[in-house]
Amino acid sequence: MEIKLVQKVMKVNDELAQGVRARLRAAGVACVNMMSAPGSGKTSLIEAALRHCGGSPRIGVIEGDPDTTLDAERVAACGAPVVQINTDGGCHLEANLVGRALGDLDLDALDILLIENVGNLVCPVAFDLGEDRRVAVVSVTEGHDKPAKYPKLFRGVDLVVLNKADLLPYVDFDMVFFRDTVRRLNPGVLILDVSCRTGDGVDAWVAWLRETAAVADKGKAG
Amino acid sequence: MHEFSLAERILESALGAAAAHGGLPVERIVVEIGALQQVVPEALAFAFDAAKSGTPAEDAVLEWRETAALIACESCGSEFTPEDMFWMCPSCGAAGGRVVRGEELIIQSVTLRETLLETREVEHGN
Repeated sequence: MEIKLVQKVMKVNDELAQGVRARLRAAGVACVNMMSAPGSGKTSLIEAALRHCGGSPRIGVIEGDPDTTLDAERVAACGAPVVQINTDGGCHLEANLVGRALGDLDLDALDILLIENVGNLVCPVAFDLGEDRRVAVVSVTEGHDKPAKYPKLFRGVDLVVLNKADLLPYVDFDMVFFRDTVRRLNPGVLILDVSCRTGDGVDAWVAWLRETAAVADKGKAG
Repeated sequence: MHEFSLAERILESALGAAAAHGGLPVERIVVEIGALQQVVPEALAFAFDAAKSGTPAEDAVLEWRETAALIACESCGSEFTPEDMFWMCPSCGAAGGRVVRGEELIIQSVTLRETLLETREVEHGN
């Protein structure tokens, strides 16, 4: 007996993600899904934002890692509310995990929620977490070819952060190739050069977060 | 390896369909995979085989159909199948575009084995 099902494989995750989105919208909280390879500096960018934003926007964080609470401890040391998700080896976050983590955050005390996905340039891309915007982080030590090798991630993001820019003089990073690849994959996407170590570019990163938070607030008012 | 997550979702849907039809064993599942999904069909089938054991779908075969990508140019509106990762419109040369087809990840059908049902009918007849 053949049953025509015609059902999206992602149906359950998509519905849970919509639930997350609705909860955050109702509270006027913007949500950003940060994706990158392990070690490109997602947590450092979150720390830099917390240290430089002067409490505006009010930032909450969900940390996704296969194991340990190391990242949550770093974020908590900056004074921000944070929930650590351990995926027990899982290669990406899913909306059910984010939905559960929301229960541990006071959404009324937040303007923006940063979700640091599991370090991975492939799997996280497939799972909607209920975010408003997506960010790809690449560090110059990873090489200029990453957007070309992982095009789907870079096609679907609203911001590309090129981190560890202070190391450019020491690595063979072809900036023209990198920028050209990103622009061809995602015309018009904003690319920010940042060094969390020197602080260069952190102002622009914070400004982008403020603008993202303001859009969510307008959405609530509407 | 998010194929394992996907395989579990596919298995849940198939078992749901089987449960709705008297718990018949699942024989075949057909999945449509868009070319823009970063899903390796063989990896999905491997993950499905690992997930299905001990369930009413343990003898089930996962089959797949691949759907080619179709992109609509946002400058001139023409539709095209991209030749590489850069979606360059062959008509006007603009980069990027809107996805018309290729993001599918759909369980199209589930086939259940009806042998149990037939047996029951025979028994009933006697």
